[in-house]
Amino acid sequence: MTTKLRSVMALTGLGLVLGAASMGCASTPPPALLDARAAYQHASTSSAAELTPAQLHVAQQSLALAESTFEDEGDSDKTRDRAYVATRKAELAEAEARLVAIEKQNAEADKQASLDQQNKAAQTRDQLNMTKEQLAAQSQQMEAERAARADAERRAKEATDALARVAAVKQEPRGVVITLSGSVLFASGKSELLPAAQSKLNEVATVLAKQGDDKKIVVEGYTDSQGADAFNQTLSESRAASVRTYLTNHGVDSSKITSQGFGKGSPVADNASPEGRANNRRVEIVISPAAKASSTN
Amino acid sequence: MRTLVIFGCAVVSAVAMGCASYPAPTEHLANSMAAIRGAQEVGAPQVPQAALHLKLAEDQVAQAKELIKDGKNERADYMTLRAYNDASLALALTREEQARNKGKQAVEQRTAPPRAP
Repeated sequence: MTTKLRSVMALTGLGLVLGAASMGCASTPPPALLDARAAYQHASTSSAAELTPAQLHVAQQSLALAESTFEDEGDSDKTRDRAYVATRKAELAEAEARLVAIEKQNAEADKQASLDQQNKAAQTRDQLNMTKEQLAAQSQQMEAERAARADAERRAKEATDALARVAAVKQEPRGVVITLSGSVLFASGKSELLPAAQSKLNEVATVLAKQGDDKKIVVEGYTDSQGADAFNQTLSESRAASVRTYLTNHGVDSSKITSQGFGKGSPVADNASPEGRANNRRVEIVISPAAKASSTN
Repeated sequence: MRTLVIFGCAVVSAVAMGCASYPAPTEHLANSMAAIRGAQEVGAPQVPQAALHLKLAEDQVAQAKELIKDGKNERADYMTLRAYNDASLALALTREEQARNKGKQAVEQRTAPPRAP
């Protein structure tokens, strides 16, 4: 009986010792479990809570298992192993959260780069289109200018042709020279235009008025060699002036036309014969390119 | 007293049977080894932090194998779990590093001046 009682007491004591040992262990968790708690704490306050909540939940369950094992068994191999696994699970949740964040960042950067590239391409395309439009406009303008020039040349030729029908027209180095016979324009010794001359001069005026701005016109008066030189000079001047006045009154721009008398100078025929003298009595209208006209365009 | 002895024997034999009945963790061991191969293949040995966890996993698998040989199957099973989790972490750390490098390279490519032809 005594032996039996001693045995029971011994068993009870053993239980108490074991219980106390177990309680002792429970109050001081092993370093592995402390690590696991810290790792989970760290992970739960990191971006894992937002980016990898499922993995974080797994880590939490793993830690809970380690905790319950510790409660049940104290600092056992199993407790340490489970704490170790819980630590890795928490670290894994954090690592995967960082990976998600980096991949998001990379994707956004790629998207932005792609947008930038698209914008750049669009900009280049716009510039190209603008250049094309400018080129087209320039080409159109050049074509218009060419057409205008061709038109002006055509009109000048038409005018010259029309003139050839009423007067002698020659192309000389000094320009186009229209020669009008003095006997047709004036009575002998006079500088007033004859009525018959006027219809002829009307035609000339029409042609001259059509000349471009880049032309200057000089009316030159000439006489034959008969009579005093001074008289011939004055007569040639006043005849040239008469023709100029008539022309300016009939549409020719007065700023483009001048007159000059040369008396008996520059004869075109022999003054010894009546025909020659008749040819020398004349008015020449010289149309030449104006030297400064082109530079004012 | 005899009753106590019989009870004690029963407890001892039950515990012995329990240990013996824990199966060898062959599946967990295979999973751990597969996780290690996966981490090695993605390049964990080249990433210092990942290489550390890979080494831990490899050592733990070796330990697990020894424990199985010694018939300590339960302890071996936990060792394979440790190994599996270290290998998984090595894989994640490697992928993180690779993604970070990829981003850096993309930025460098975009900011680099165009090469002369």
